[in-house]
Amino acid sequence: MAYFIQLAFAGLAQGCIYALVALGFTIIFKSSGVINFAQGEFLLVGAFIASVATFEWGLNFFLAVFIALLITVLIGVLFERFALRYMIGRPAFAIIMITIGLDILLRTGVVMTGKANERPPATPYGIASGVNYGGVHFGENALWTILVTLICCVALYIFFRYTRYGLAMRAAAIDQEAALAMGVNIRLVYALAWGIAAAVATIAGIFLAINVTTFDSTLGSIALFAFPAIILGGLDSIPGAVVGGVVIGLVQLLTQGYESHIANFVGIGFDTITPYLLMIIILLVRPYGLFGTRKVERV
Amino acid sequence: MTIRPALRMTIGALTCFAILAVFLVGCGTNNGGGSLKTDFGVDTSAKTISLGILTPLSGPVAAPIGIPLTKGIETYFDAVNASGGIDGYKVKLIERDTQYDPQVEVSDYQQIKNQVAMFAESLGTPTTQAIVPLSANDHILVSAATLDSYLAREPYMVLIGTPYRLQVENAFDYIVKKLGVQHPKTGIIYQDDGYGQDGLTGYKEAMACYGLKNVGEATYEATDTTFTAQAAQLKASGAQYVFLTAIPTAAAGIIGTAHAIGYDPHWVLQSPAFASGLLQVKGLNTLLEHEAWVVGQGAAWGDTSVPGMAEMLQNIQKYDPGQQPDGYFEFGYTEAKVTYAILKKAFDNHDVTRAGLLNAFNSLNNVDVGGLYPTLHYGSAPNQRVPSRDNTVYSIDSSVAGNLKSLSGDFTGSCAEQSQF
Repeated sequence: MAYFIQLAFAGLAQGCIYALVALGFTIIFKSSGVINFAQGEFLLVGAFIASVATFEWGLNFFLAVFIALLITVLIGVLFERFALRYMIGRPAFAIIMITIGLDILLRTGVVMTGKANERPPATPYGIASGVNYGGVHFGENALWTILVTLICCVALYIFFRYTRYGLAMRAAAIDQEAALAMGVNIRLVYALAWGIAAAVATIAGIFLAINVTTFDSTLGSIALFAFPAIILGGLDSIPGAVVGGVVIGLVQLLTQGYESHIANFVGIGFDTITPYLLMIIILLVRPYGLFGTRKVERV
Repeated sequence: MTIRPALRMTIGALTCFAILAVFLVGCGTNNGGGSLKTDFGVDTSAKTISLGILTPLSGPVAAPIGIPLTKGIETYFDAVNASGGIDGYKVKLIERDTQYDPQVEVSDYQQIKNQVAMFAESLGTPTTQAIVPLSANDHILVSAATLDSYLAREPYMVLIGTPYRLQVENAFDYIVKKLGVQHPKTGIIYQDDGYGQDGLTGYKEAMACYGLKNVGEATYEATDTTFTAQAAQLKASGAQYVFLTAIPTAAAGIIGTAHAIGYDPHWVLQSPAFASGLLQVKGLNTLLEHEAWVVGQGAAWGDTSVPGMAEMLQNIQKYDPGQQPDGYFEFGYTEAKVTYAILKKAFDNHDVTRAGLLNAFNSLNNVDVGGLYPTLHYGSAPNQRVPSRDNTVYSIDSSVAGNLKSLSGDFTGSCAEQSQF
């Protein structure tokens, strides 16, 4: 039982990281209809800046995280302002290609510093910090990952539900033209979406880097696992992104932990495909994901 | 004017002879002292011989492996050229960045294959695998900076050092025979690719040779970002010694996660699983220094009692003064010594064509690399193309140059001795 709980707890924490990455995808998609393929690299840049600020500049962990957040949010907002804004009305394919370009730029930028290999993560605690109960280790990083993800979800809920800008973003998500007619500043909505997405990616990156003990420039590839999470939860649903992320994390870890028992049947590395298998099964039953909005068009 | 038949035949024969002579001159050139046969990559007027380098100079593998390893090769040939070259021929390196991507590697290979006599470096298992059939088709020798066992069966591949499979076998020889641990409970965590499979093959052979009690096997993908399942699996199995056929970041993640869930077996790291950068991580450095060994090869950095090391350090001072202690630099430098031996033999045979280089390689027998690595052996059969079967088990020690301290000295285990390729 301890083995199962250990895996489930790790899966929940890993799922929370997927959820944070998925949240970034969903927020941008909801407000602008763009799938940001650079989301994973925001995570890398955030973790990298926090690490450099801690180890090269000698800053306190929390100050390093603040600087990382500031820089990634700035990159997100500036990219929206100076690249994407000129693409309004262009085909979705062209916009996607531009986000892929940003993805390559960010990763190359990190690699070119020459400091991206076996990078120690910025962390406020030791690698074995945590509590043991019933033969299960509840790691401090995993506990904080779950707690911070919850806080982010609540904060985003309050922001979207009760603030003026949140309302503006929701309005723009439902109908951009109507929102524009009602005086909503669409440019500000886009900038906010990119800023929030960059911020949640940075938080995910910092937790993920601590989780893997050392990291390199491939850290952003985790976004590949967030894709099934957002599709599974529903591309335009914020609760869907969170539920999708957690489900993917749990399924992946439990498959990893138990696949050796059925290795003769499924072979090794089955855990790599389980998120995608699950995604396909859910889409067969619910084509718009668990919480996605069914599109109704007048013909 | 009429020409008599006999005279016409004579003129015809002379013309044929002249054409043949021109053709032969085109194929082989005279090198003063004797006829030197050449084809690709040799400029007899400028007296240069060009060698190809296929290595990641950008991307994640560049900084820790690609760049220092290539610098090792450059430094060695800088010294060779400064001392007059090989039989008066200066070595020219034509480098291409593969980004550790098999597709880019193939494209780079195709671009420069006709400009070079042989490839003095092809770094990486998946990248080198991509050009194995091409090099066989083009009859071009490739010095491989990877220790994948199967390359020993490929006639145009030049291996440097003991293959991964034998590294695992030697590690367990050390545990069972040198330390006297009988029937230890063991496990392995390996990367799910060709590199990992090579480690797993060695592990299975070691199980049979040394009576290991295999209690757990787990695998991971190179893209994995959590290692709790693997660590928990091995913890549940109760393995005392766990072999890691991994890359450094994964090794760090596995060891750190296992420690966090209260599992601290003795870790044995395949040579590419360790990188000095891991010692920067607080907490992990202590674990590595107390609970991990690395199985690899090579003289300790700075040990000037080893002639090859003394020579290498002198050359670093002259040609690459900023170079820090680095095992991959040492590997590249050693690799260049083997390439030099092939070229020298070919020049001695007056045949630096591709066929001549293959012939020189097949007849090398022993290459003394000055103690940087043990004497390397080569021949024409797969078993003879395994250059060495010995290893050293190191502890990790941040206070010594290169961060590795020999525990076992250089040795060949009985299993590695008998292993067939």
